Parts: sequence; structure tokens; C-alpha cells
Amino acid sequence: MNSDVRQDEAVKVVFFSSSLLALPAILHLHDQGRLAAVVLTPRPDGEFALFEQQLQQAGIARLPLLPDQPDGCVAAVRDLGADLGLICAFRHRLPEALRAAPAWGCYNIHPSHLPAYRGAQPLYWLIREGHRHSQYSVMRVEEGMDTGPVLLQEPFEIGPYDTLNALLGRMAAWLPQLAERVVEQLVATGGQPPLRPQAGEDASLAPLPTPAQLRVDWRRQEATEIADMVRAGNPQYGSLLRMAANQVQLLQATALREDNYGIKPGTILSIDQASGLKVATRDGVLRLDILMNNDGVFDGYRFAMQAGLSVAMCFDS
Amino acid sequence: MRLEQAQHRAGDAAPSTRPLKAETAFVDPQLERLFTQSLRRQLENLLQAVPLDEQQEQLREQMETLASTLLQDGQADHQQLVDLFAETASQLFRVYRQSELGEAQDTRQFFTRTGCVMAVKDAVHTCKDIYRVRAFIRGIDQAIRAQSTQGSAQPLHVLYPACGPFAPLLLPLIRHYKAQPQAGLRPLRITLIDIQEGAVQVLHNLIRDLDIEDYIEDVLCMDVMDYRPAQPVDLLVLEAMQRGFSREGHLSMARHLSRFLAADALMIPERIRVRAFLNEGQAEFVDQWQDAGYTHSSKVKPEAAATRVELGAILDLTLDSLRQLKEIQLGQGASVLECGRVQLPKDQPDLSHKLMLYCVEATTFGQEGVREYDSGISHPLPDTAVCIDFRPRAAEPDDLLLKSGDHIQFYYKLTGQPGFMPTWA
Repeated sequence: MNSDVRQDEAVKVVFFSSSLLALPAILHLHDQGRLAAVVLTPRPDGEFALFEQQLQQAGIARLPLLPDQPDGCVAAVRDLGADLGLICAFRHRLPEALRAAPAWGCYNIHPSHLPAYRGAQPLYWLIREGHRHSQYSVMRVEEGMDTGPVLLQEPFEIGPYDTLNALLGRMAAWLPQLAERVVEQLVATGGQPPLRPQAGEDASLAPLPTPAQLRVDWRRQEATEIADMVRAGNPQYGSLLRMAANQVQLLQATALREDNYGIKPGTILSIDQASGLKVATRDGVLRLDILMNNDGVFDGYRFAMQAGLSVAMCFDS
Repeated sequence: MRLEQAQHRAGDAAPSTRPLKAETAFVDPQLERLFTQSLRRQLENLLQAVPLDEQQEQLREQMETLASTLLQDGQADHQQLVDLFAETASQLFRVYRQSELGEAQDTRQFFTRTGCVMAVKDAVHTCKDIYRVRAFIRGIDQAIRAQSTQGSAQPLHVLYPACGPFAPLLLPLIRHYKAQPQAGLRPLRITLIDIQEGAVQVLHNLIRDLDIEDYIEDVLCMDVMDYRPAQPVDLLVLEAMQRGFSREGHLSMARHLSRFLAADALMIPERIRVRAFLNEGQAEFVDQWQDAGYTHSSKVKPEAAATRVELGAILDLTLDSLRQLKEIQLGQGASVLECGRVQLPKDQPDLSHKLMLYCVEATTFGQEGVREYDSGISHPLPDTAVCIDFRPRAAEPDDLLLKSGDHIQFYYKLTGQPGFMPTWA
């Protein structure tokens, strides 16, 4: 037996996350007695406060990582004698010293079929670009962003009505099993599992969407593209509609197989209490289901009535 | 320049506020105030439980007064007309309110393959368009008389498609005929058509209240493009194309219905002329109306007219020309009609500051008609896609970049969004 191969229960994992998304996996590892500590980067928001509170209540050790001063965190991880670093929903790239601090290195859980959708927001772009399935990828962390060799991939489905939160929720529920599989593979191989390099030519990026990318572009986008974009942005990012100097967040829309009668994309086609607010797209018709502005959240018909819209008015591209 | 054009871009409005008000509107502001006062009186009547038959009598008298005043030769004073229309509109609104349309019937608005269909709640305001109603009532009366001088005693089939909830260009005249039977007129058989269920419901109530059922052949709720009359049409009343002959499908309707007209049929308006001209938006739409009170052709200021550059007629529509329009199929169900060709003047330095405008003038019959700014249909419509001697900073896909001296060939789009399409020729 290889001397590096440890007994499963003796493996010490350091988890890198500052998100509630990782909490089920963290608690699972903690319950198994495998969790050494959680490395987190403090940020002033409610989610982080709740995350930290949950860790505290569970009696989990917390190691703050200050991105500009990582040495203290590196030393603490080394002192823990950690075997494995697991990363999920962690906003900062790890310096080399920290990546090397656990004996077997660090592995990142990334919700896309790498090398596609590398970056901060793969699920957003998967939904927005109309994918119906993808894979959770676990890869060894290297210098490049999400470029490391892949340890394992597991498929997941994306339903036609899934939003970003829906996928994040399912991912959170799946993470404990995934973390367990990672630990098992590393234990079984003494920390030297077979890894598969990513095919660079298939790589694509999934950055945080910019404000310009959140605007509906009636000239270029087809109805399904807009509906998927809106679904991806619901509710964190939203999708912006503009008319003259005003804008409104579109939270849900449906692509319809109806005739747009050759009318300019962005033009309001119908306002009807039963069938809602419909707008011409370059390829058909989009129904604006749910919209939000300072006055509140409305269905399309009520929004049209509230804002004094009428057919033939046109949203800006 | 581009900003000014954008301010006049058709269809712009504010989604989280009330729609922007145009500088010019077809309804005299004073009429709106009087109309509101009159509505209050109507409300008082309702609260005092005025019997329905008394309300119906008031409506009939009002419509008779309206028609007989409009039919009198010589211009009625504008103020008299304002008072008359305010009271008439409030009487009609009483019928509209008592029809108790559901919200869905009242607010539904949509496109068909030939154009835009207004909500009933918006269409009811057409009855306040003083000079349009006047021109049509007078024109239709003269046309009926002309049709009656040919010796035939056969009923005259009058068709009024897309007539809205009040059919305001015809029903006051019919009430007048009912109250004062006209010797020598052929009996009328009127077909009214509207695609809005709510409009048809109001129409039925209005016809009952006016006691003119004996003139009405049919009130149909359908798309005019699907209508095939059993009897030839003798008089076609074509109402409400929007300004610049845009948005609504009246040209498509007229082409469809022209197949069902009797040999000696008349169309009201008998002539629709659309011309193109250039002018500065500020001068055309704002400055000349600062002290006008209301818009009308008699109030167009010479200073604004002086800065115009007339380009000429782009469409001259009569029953004859309607049948000769050359349709060009573009595929996917879209087609265009070939219209007029004009030339931009050469060596004129200020064209880059001017908008392309389309103006409709309609002759309803004989000498009757609406001239520019008389009516909602005859307000000039700016085409902000036309850029002459300048390149817009924020280009739009349908922008047409032209320079002075260029020739422009106009087409008329027969799509869900009808209107003129200029092209470089």
C-alpha cells in the first residue's frame, strides 16, 4: 500500500467558498469528520453574513483570506495539514502558495462542461444560450482561469423553465455527493488521480454579464434568444427594456410561434387582458410576461395599462 | 439635429410614465375641457336617475343638431362647433359607458396582417375630430344625393368598414335623415363593420338609442379583409387612416373592397392626396402653434410655410387609381405598392436641418375635404429614417441616407405596419 494513501476518514479537506451554495457540501464533509476549515473572503452583504453565521453555529473553523495578504491564510492551511482543497463559488483566484498548501492540491467544482463556459457565471450563460444539459466539472486548479486538467464530469439537465437560482439550488443539493466522489477518487489514488487535459480549442468564456449585455437587442436577437436571456437573468441580473428615456426590467418572457406581420422588431403588437403584451421580434413574437419598475412588479397587460403603452409603440434596440 | 428628429420619431413614448404629448393634437384643447364638463353633467343626470328614454331623446336631438349644423352652407363658427362637438361627444360617451364593456373588450388593441386596430377606449375619441366629421358628413350627404339623382329607386348599399364604436362620420347624418325625411333620396341599406367586439356592442346600443334600425342592413364583427358582400356596394366610406396614411389598413381594405363595388359606386373620400415636403421640426410642429389655440389649415403660419421645401405628390388615390396601383410581391406575404417619385432640390444648404414629412389631404366629395392640420388624418407625419446631407451619429437599420439632388422613389408597404417607404432612385 502506498504510504501516501490515507484512510478515507483521515482525509482533511479545506473548503474554499464564501457562498451559501456550498453550505450543504461543507456541512456534509463536516459531519463526516473530513472538514478541516473553510477559507472565505469576507464581503459586506447579507448572504455572506448568513454563511458565516451558519459556519459559526456548526462549529466550523473559518480562515479569512485577504486577497492582497494571502500569507497568513497559506500558513494556516499548511498548519492544518490539509490533504485536499475543494473550491466552489469562490470569487478570488488562489495564489500558487495557497494552491500548493494542501498535500494533494486544490480542485475546483465548476458547473459547465469544461472547457466550455470558463469563468464566473457559467450557469447564466448556459441558460441564456439555450442549453438543455451540461456537466459539473471538477478540475485541478492551475494558474489559468478554469484551465486545469479535469478529474471528473457529471451531467445535469437544464429545464425549459429553469432560472439561475433554480440551477444553483439543484447544484447545492448535488454538491455533497460530488464532493464525496472527489474525496473517494483522491483517496483511492493516493492523491494522484488520472486527469484529462482540457481541449483548448473548445474553450469559451462565461464572464459576469455587462450592463450592455443585459439590454434586449431587438435588431439582433430572436424571440427564443430573448426569452432565454430573460430567464437567465431572473432575478439577479434582469434584462433591460428601454423606450425613450425610460427603462424597465423584464423578468419573464415567452417566445411565441405567431406571425409578426412584417412589423419592425421591438414594436408592440398587441395589448390584451387575456393574451398579454406581445412584441414583434426579428423572427416572430415575444410575449412580455412579467416586468418590474419602480412602481412594482406587473404582468405584461397591467404594465402596458399602467405605463400608457399602446400598439405600434416601439422599444429601443 | 438627430435629437430633434428623435423627438418626432413616430411611436416613441415613455413606458414608466404617461405617453409624451405631441406638440400638436387633432382635438381642440377647449373641446376637451368642455367635454369633461359635459361628462360631469351626464353623471349628474345618471345620479338623478334620468329615464333612459329621456336620455335617448337628448342623444337624438343632439345628433340631429350636429348634422343639420354641419350641413348648413357656410362655415359655422369654430367656437360653435367646439360647443356642439363637446356636447355630442358627451352624449355618445353616455352610450359607451352604458354599454358596460368588460375591460378586455375595452382595452384590447392589436395588429392584423393589414394594420393596427385601436382599442375601443381610444377609438371613441375619433368623434371629437371636428373637421373630419364635418367633411365626411357633408361629403356623404352630397354623395348620397348624387347617387339619388340617377333615377333609381333601388336601395343604396352603404358600407362603412372599421367604423369604430360610434361610426361618427355617418350615423349623425342618418339620424338627421330619420328626423327630417329627405325627398328624392334612395333608401339606404347600411352595413357597418368593425373587428372589435366591444365596438360592435356599443354600435348596437347606439343604433337602438338613435332609433335608426330601419337604415341598418347589418352590423358585423369581423376583419374587413374577410368580408364579401352579397350585394354590390354603392357607397364606400373609408374612415380613419392615421396621419401620413400610416398604421391602419385602410388602403388594403379599399383594395379588397374595390372588387365588390357597383359600376357607378363612390368612395368617400373620393380623392386622397399624399404629398411629401421638407421642413424643420421646430418650425413645423412647435413654433407656428405657440399662440394658435388649436391646429387648423387656416392657422398655418406663413413663416413656417416659407421654410418648407415642397417635393410633390407621392400618392393620388381615387377609385380609378386604386385599381391601377402596381403591387410588387416581396416574398413571405409582404408586398409594396409603387407610388410617386420626387427629387430633392440641388444646392440648397439647409436640407440637413429638415425633416421629411408626409401630409394627407382628402377630398370627401365635391368641394368638401380636410386640408393639412384640419384633422387627425391630415397632420404631417415625419419620417425620421430619411437623413438628407447628414450622417446620423446613431444609425438605425432603416435609415435612408440621401443627399441634395437625389431622386426618391416611394413605395407603400402592405404589411401589418403600412406606410410609405422611400428609396434612393
